[in-house]
Amino acid sequence: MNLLSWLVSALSFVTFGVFKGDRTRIEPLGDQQGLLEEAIRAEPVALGMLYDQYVDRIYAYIYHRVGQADLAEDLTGQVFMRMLEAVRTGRGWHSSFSGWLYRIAHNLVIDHYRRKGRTTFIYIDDAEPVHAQTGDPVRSVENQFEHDRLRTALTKLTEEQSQVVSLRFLEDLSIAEVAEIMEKTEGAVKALQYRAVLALRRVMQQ
Amino acid sequence: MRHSKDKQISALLEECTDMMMSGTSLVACLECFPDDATELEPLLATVASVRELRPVPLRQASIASNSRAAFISEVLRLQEPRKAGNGPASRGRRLSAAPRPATPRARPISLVAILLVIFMSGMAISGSITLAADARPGDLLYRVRTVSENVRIFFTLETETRNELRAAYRQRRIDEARTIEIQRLADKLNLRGLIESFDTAQ
Repeated sequence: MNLLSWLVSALSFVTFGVFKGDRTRIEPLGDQQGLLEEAIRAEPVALGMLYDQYVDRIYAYIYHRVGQADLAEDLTGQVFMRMLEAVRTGRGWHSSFSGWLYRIAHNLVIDHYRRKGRTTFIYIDDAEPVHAQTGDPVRSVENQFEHDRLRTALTKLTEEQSQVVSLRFLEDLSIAEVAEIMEKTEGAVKALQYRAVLALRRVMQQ
Repeated sequence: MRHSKDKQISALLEECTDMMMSGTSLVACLECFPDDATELEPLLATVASVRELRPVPLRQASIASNSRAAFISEVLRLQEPRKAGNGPASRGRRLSAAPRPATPRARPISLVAILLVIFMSGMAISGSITLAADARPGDLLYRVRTVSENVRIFFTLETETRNELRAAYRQRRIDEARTIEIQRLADKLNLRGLIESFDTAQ
C-alpha cells in the first residue's frame, strides 16, 4: 500500500503541476481584473463576456445622444469593433476599461454629428411611431415633442457639457465615474455639470 | 461674491442630483434647502426633464443577436496568427501580458495534453506491474503479472534468454500451484480442528 500511496501522490502532484503551470487556460478568472487581463490577451471567452457586460450600457448612452435606435445599434457595433482593433494592435485601455469604452462611444457620436451636422431632420413618414403610453394620444405626442426639443437642446451644448449631462443624468454615473471617463478631476466635473445645466436651461428658454 | 454663490449652488445642485438619482422628488429636495430654493428650482427642473429621457427602447432581439454574432466572428478572426511588432510592450501597461507567440495557441495545449497522457499512462502501467510482483492466483493484479511476463518474453530478442525466462515462469506456476494446495490443506485442517473443538465442547 505504501507504493500505491506513493503512486497516487505522484500522479496527483504531476497533474496539479501541469495544470497549475499551464498559462494557456481558456476560462477567464471570476473577478473583473482577471477578466480584463484575459481580454487584453484576446481570449475569446473574456472578450465575449465584456461585450455582454457593456453592450446595453453603451447602446443606452449612444441612444441618449442620438435619439435613433438603428443609428445607436450601428454606432454601438462600431464601438466594439474599435475595441477589438485596439486589442489587436496592442493599444487597449490603460486604466479604466469602462472609461475607455465610453470615450470611444463619445468620439463616435461626435464624429457622427460632424459628418451629418449638429441637428438631424427626418421625414415625418420615416419618424418612429409615437405610442400613447398614458392612454391620451395628444399628451403622448406633446411629451414626444418635448423630448425631441430637449434632445435638440442637448446637441447645442458643447461636447463636454453634452457628455457630462448624458453620463450624470441619463446614465446615472457618479461624479467619480464621470471624472474617470472624461479624464478630469471631480471638482472640474462638478463645475462642468453646473455650467451645462445653466446652458441647457438657457437653450430651452429660447 | 457671485463666484462663491455659484460654487454654493453648484454644490447644492450636485447634492440634490444625487438625491434625485436615489429617488427623492424635486419638491422634497427643495424642502431640504429652503434658503436656496429660488435658485435651485429651475436647475433641478432642468435635471428632472433630462432624466425623463432615460427610458431606452428595448433592442430588437434579431438585431442584437446579429451584432453579437458579428462581434464574435471578429474575435475569432483575432485568434489567427497576428502580426508582431505593433504592440506597445514598451509602454509598461499595468494589464499587459508577456508577448505571445505568433503560432496558433491550440498547438501547445494539445502537445501538453498528449505528453501528460503518455506520462500518466506510463506511471500507471509501471505502478501496476510493480504492485503485481507479489500477486498470487486469484488476486486482482495476477492477470497483470502474467501479461507482463508474456510481454517480457515477447520483447526478449535472444532465444536462449527467452527459453530461460519460459522455464523460470513455468517453475513459478508450479510453485504457485503448490502454495495454493498447501494453503487449501491448511484451511481444511484448521476447519477440522474447529469442528472437533465444537464437538468436544458439547
